[in-house]
Amino acid sequence: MNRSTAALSILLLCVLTAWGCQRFLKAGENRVELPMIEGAFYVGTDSCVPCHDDVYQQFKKTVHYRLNAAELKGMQRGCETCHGPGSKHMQTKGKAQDIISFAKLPPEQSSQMCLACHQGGPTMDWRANVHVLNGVGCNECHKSHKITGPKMVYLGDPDICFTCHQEKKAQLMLPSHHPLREKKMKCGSCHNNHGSENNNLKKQSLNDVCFECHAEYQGPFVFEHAPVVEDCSICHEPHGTIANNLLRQSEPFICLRCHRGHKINPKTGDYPTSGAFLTSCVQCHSAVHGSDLHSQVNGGGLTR
Amino acid sequence: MKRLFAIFSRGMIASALMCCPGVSFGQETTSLLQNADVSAAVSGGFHFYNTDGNRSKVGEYDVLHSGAESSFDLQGSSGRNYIDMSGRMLDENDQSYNLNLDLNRYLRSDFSYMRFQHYLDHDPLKNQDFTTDYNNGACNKLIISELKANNTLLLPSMPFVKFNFDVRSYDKEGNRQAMTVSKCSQCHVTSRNKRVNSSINDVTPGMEIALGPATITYNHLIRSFTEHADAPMTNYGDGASFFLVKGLAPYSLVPDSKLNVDTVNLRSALPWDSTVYATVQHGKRENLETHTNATFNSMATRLSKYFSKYLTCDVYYNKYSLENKTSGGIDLDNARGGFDFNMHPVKNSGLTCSYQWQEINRDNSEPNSTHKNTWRLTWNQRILKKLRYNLKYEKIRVNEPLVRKDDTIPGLVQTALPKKEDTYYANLSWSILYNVTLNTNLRYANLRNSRYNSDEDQWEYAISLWYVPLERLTLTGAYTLAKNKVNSFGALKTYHLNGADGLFEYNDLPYDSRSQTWSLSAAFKLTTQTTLTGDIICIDSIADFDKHVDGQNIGDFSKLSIGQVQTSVGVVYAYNKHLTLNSRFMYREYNDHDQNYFDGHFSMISVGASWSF
Repeated sequence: MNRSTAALSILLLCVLTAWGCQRFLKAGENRVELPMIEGAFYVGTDSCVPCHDDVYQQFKKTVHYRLNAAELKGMQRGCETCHGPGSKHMQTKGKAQDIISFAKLPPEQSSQMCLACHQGGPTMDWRANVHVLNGVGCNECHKSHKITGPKMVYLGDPDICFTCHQEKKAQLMLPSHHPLREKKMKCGSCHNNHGSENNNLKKQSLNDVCFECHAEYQGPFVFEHAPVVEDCSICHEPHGTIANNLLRQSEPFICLRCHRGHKINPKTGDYPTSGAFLTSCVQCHSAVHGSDLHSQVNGGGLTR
Repeated sequence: MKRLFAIFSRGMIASALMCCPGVSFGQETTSLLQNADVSAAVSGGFHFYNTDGNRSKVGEYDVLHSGAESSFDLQGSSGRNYIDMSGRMLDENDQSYNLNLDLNRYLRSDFSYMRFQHYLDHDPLKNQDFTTDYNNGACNKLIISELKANNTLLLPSMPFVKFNFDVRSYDKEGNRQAMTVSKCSQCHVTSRNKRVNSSINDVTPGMEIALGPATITYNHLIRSFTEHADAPMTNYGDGASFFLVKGLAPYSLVPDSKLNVDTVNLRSALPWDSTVYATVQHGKRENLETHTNATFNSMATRLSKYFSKYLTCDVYYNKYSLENKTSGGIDLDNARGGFDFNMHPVKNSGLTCSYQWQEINRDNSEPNSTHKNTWRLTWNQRILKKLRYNLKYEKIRVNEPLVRKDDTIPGLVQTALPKKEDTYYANLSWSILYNVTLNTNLRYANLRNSRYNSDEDQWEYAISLWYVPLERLTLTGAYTLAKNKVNSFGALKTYHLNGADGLFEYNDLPYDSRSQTWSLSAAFKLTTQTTLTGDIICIDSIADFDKHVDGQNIGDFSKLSIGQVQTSVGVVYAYNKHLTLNSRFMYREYNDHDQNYFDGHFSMISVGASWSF
C-alpha cells in the first residue's frame, strides 16, 4: 500500500507539473522543430483536388477526412492539416519544396507531425520506440491517404513487420509457433510497436502479456516454478522453435541446464525404469507452470 | 458480462444519437442515407481437403474438413459516419468477423470475433516402461474463440475527454492430455484426456483527458478466469507410508482466478523543449481456489530532452514489484533505469548510445539480488534514398543471474542464463534498381556463463530479393538461416542415494539446432482479367541433443529433424467489374526424418466466386 501511495504521489506530482506548464506552452506544442512554409496561407482542400484527385478520392474514405472539430484542435481541415498551408505550392504550380512533403522529411520530424494529434493511446510512450531511434517513422508502416488495412497499416500486420524482421518471419515458420502465419494472431497481439517501457511489449511485464491468453498459468500458485514467476522467456521463445511447445531447447536438455537429472541406481538395476529418466521430464513433472496440489513424495515436485 | 456489454452498447448508441449533431432521426437521416458512399462484396465457394498423419504439426491451426466457405465485406460512409464490416467463414470452427463503426467521430466501436481450432499433440509415452494411457492415440484439440469490443465515446460538450469501454471474452474448449505419476515407486505415468472449458472475461472502462500539452489516461481492468471443467482424477494407490497422496485424488487442477489492474498514464510537453511520460499501475491477482493473492505495482517515467536537431536525450526509470501473499511465494522487485542519446552527426543518419542498469531483488528464490548492465550502440544511415543500413552492438553483463540451488546436494548450483552477452547486428535495405530491392541482415550473439560452464552461439542470416522483371510479373525470394549451438553443464543424481555420493557432473553437454528456410513467390498478370499466383516454401530444421549421457543415447529420443514443404498455386479471373472467379491449390507436408512421428500432409483445392456491388 505504501508503494502504491508513493507511486500515485509521483504521478500526481507529474500531473501538477504538466498542469503548471500549460502557462508556458501553447496547446500541442512539440519539442521537435516542425517544418514551416514561409509566407504561405491556407487555401482549402478543394484547391488540391484538381491536381491530386486520385489521392483525394482515397483520402475521402479515411478517418483523417472524417475528423471532427474537437479532434482538429483548431487546425485546418483536410489536406493542409498535415501538409501545411498550400498557397505557395499552388502559385509555383506544384513545386515540392513549397509544401510539407513527408517523403522528404527525416523520420523523427515526419513522425512528430503525426504526434501533434496522436498523443494518447498507444503512442503515449513514443520516445521509448526503438523504431524511431533506428530511423523508422510512422510513414514506413502507415499510409495516411488511403485505407490499406486496419489502422491504415500498409500490407497489414504481420506482413509489414516481416519486411524488416525477416528472421522473425522465418521463426514463425518453424514446427512450433504461434498462429501468426495462419492469420489468427498479429505482432500487435503482444507488441506495442509505437513504444513502451518494456521493450515494445504491451504490458509492464512479459508474463502479463502471456497471461492475456494463458491465464491458467497466472496463479499465484502454492507451489511455484521460479522461472515461470520471473520470465516466461527463460524457457520459451514465443516467435517459434524447432522444439515442441515453443521451448528454447528440447527436453530434457532445457531442464538439465538448471536441474540435476535422475540417474538409475546400479544396485537396483532398472528400478525405477530407465525409460523414465533423461527423456521427457514433464511426463512426470507435468505441472511445470505451478500447482496448488502437492506432489507424492516431495511437496513441490510439480507432479500434480 | 455479455449482457452488461449489450446494455452498455445500447446506452452508448442512444447517447451518441442524442448528442451527435450529424446523426439524428428524420429528414437529416434520410439525407445522409441518400449521400452515402457504399461498397460491398460477397463471395462463396467450396474447399476440399485431403489429409493424413499427425495433425498437431501439419495442420496445427487449420480446420481440415471439406465444405463450403463464404465471406463478405461492406464499407459505407456518409458525412463523418462510417461503417466497415467484414466476415469470413471457412468452417463452424474457423470464422472471423469485424465491425468498425464510427458515428460522426463521437461514438466509435471496434468489434471483432474470431474462432479457430488448435490441434494438440498427444504424447504416446513410448519411452516409458510402465504407463497407462486411457486415451491412447487421441486427437486432442481446442476450439479457441475471442470476442473483443473496443468502444470510445466523445461528448461534444466535453471535447477534451474520451470515454473508453473495452470488453473481451477469450474461451477455450476441448481436450488436452494430462499426465501424472500415479505410483511413484514404479514410475507409473498415467495419462488421460482432460476436459478444457475455460473462459477469460475482461472489462476495461477508462478515459483519456487532454489538458493542453498533457494527455492523461486511466483504465481499470477487471478480469475473471474460470475453468468450468473438473480436474481429472486418478488412483494414487496406497504407496509407501511417506507418500503424501493416496487413493483417488485430482491432478492437473487449474484454479479459477481474478485480476484487477488500475493504470494511469501521463504524457506531457514540458518547458525547455522536453517531454515527460509516466505510468503507474497497481494490480491484484487472486487464486480463487486457495484464496491467496499476489499484488503488483509498477511505475515508469521517461524524460525526453531536445537539445538541438542534432542531439536528443531520454532518461528513464521503471520499477515493477510483485508481492506474493502465498506462504513461501516468490516476491520480485525489478527496477531498471538508463538513458538513450540520439545524435545525427551526418545528414540522414542516426547514432544512438544507450545504457541501462537493472536490479532484480527476490525473496524465496535465488539469488537474492541480480545486477544487470546493458550498453547499446546503434548506427543507421540512408544513402541517396536508395540504401539504408543499420549496425548495432549490444553488451550485457550480469553479476548473478537467476539460479537453482539444489537442496539435497550442497554446492550444486545451476542456471541456463548467461552472465555475459554480446550481440552484433547488421541490416541493409537497398533499392538497387527501380524494379529490384534487396534486404539482408545478419545477427550474431554469444551468451556465456563461465561460472556455470555455459556457452551459447546464435547465428541468424536472412536475405530477400524483390524483383519485377516485367510490368506484369513480380517475384519475391528469400532465404533464412538460424543456427544455435549450446554447451551446458549438467548433473545427474543417483536415485535413492542422498548427498553428493551419487552425483555425476558433465561439462559441455552439447545442443545444436539449425533451421533453413527458402521461399519463392510469384504473381503474374496473364491478361487484364487473369492473375496467376504461386509460391513455395521449404524449411529444414534440426535440433539435436545426442550426447550419450550415462550410457543412454537419449538423442534417439529427443532429436528432432523435421522438413516442411508448402506450395500453392492460384488463379483469379475477373469476368467483369462485378464478378470474380478464383481457384487455389495448396499442398503442405511435414517429414519427421528420424522418427516419422510428426509425418503428415494435407492438400486443399478451393474454388469460389465473389460479387462486388
